[in-house]
Amino acid sequence: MKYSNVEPDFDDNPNISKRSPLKTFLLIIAGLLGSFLVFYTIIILLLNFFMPRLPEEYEVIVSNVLVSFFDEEDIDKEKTLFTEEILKELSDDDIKILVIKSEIINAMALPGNIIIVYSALYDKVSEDGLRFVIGHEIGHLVNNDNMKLLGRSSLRTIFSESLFDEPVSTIIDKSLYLVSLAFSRSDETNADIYSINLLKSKGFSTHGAYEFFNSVNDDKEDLSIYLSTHPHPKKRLKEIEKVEGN
Amino acid sequence: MNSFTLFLFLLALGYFVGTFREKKHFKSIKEREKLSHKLKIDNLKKYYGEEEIIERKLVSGSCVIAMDYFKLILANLINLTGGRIISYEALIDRGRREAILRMKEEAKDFDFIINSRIETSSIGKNSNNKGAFVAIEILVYATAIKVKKGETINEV
Repeated sequence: MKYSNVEPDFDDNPNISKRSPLKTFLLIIAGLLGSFLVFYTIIILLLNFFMPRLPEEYEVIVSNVLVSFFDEEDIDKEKTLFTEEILKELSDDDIKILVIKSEIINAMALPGNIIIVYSALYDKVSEDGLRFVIGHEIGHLVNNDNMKLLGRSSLRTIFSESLFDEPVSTIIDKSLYLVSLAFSRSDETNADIYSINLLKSKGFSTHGAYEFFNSVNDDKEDLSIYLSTHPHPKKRLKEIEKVEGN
Repeated sequence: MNSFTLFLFLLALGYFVGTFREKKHFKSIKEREKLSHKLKIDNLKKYYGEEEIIERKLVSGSCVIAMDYFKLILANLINLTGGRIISYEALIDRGRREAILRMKEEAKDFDFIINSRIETSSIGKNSNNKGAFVAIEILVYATAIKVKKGETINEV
């Protein structure tokens, strides 16, 4: 019986895969992350559908909790009365408005038909600008964006903090935040468009939108604009110009 | 975030150092395999040559190789998706060939190695409570024989 002692062929070793470990690693990570983000996006879409359909009692509970963060002395009563008049011109719905003394320029719509405006805004814009901002917040209320946002935030917390430990929770939280940004920016643009259409239908000037965005536009072009929940003011103005053009 | 940085650092360390050492080891294995190629080896129980066996000896070679962090994480990821665990394949191939070379080193004064057997075991299994092994041991053992030319066949 012949013994065959052939020279080993080192370049053709069938016991070792030719695939690159690093490439395989990156492919699996990308695949897992992609699948997770698709799954997460589907849940967000479902939440966007179901959250606005929750009974109003839930909204009231949430709004009571949120409003409890503001003390009675934080409310600027004079400006609140003034803003209520503007609100009446724009909407007949039962919306409560509160002006909070603050140096921050901001406004928000809370569940339970509540609009919060920070007093610093009054120093920056005229009545037209204020009217656009109120219209924008009414847009959020009409589109139920606050409940959608609540759903997204809760989901993000559940996924990142409850299901995973550090350091995975931090990575998941940052990744999910980026996914959420797309939804919140879309909500903001829709609210802008709603406000413009509302102002036009009520016969008010839309000049306030330009005034407002020019006052908050600091020409910042750094990376932080990509992480902001709101689109850049310039981009928002372009969207508004499109609507006005139509 | 610190623990994440540590994770990335260990992953990069495992990949770069692990790949470097693996390439170096394979290079060494190839060179030594060429040198020891003439010592015949098989796993038959008997020696079927014509010559008389004049000496026999139990020879063995063993090798323990540790996983690097990158390979461990990659193996765990492949466990999720299925498929060839490529990080283990290279590790086991290295271990097997290194153990055979060590056994051949022990049998360098002999003419033939028969009845060779290979055993594999993991070391440190479950030590981190995750079921992943951290090192493998490959043990090769066989019978080395010395023959006298011109004599008839003998049974080992």
